[in-house]
Amino acid sequence: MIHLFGPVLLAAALAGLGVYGLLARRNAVLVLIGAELLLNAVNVLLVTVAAMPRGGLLALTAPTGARQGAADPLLGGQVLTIFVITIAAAEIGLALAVVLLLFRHRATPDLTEVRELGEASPTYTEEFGAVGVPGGTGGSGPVDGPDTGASPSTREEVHP
Amino acid sequence: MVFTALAVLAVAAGAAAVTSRQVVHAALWLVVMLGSLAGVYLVLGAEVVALVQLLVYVGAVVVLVLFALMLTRAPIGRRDDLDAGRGQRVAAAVAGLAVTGLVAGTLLVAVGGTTVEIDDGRGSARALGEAVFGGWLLPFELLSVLLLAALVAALAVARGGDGR
Repeated sequence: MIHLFGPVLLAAALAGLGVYGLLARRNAVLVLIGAELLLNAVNVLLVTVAAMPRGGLLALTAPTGARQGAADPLLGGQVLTIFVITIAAAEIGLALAVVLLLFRHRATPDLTEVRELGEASPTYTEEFGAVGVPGGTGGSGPVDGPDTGASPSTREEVHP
Repeated sequence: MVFTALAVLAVAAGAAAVTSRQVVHAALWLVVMLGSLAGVYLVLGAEVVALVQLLVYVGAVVVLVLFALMLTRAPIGRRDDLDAGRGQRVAAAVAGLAVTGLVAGTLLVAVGGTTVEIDDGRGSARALGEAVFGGWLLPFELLSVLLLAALVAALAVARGGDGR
């Protein structure tokens, strides 16, 4: 026997903290931690709902013995929680790859330093390339690829 | 009560994770929050979900975050440039409080003072396995495809995208 307002309050608090973390952080990895808090708020709610009998709140507030209905055989709340955890794992793997790419190009994980959306931006300048790549090379940054001709010195600066 | 203690620990650790001035401490507070949430799931009768939470979140996601912090040469010690300016922080706090108020308000009105019986058998591995490989088989298989796509995409993105 457990009161439902505990888990609900926990989920609400975690969601608010996640939104704060998303908005107030500048380091890209810490922004991702805020996103993890939001996802966990959703998970808490799903597990809470999974503890209800079939029919949810209506069955709980039913006046008579209608609430002895068996558990939902689909176990929607718990299965969906596992799905959300899986999606969160996929999301964080992909997001950290993006963060690493950002760090390799800009040498900083600070999101406020990134003012352009990419090489296509008219104000884009390659700050770290010794050999100027004037932004028209179709999206290839100063990363690997020995055929760009700019790789050795560029890699020295980007990966000190 | 066990639930209250775990919930307070989770909220406190979450608050520390989003406000800590040391990046590695933030990641470690995330571990505390995720672990106490696994305890919350246990109290709510979802034991398999609690184990998955420990395995995937604490075991894999946090390790990924720590690796990302290492690879982006996270500074050790207190740093003041992790957070945005004061104005943006105040706005973020207002937005966070608004989200909390909205979610808590609507859900508390909806839930009221109802209580539920925790049925331990419902979160057992047998019941959950039958559900996942029964009614949820198609979404489950789609998720495996999603994981594969995310893996390939992460590899392609991390290699720099010049392999076209």
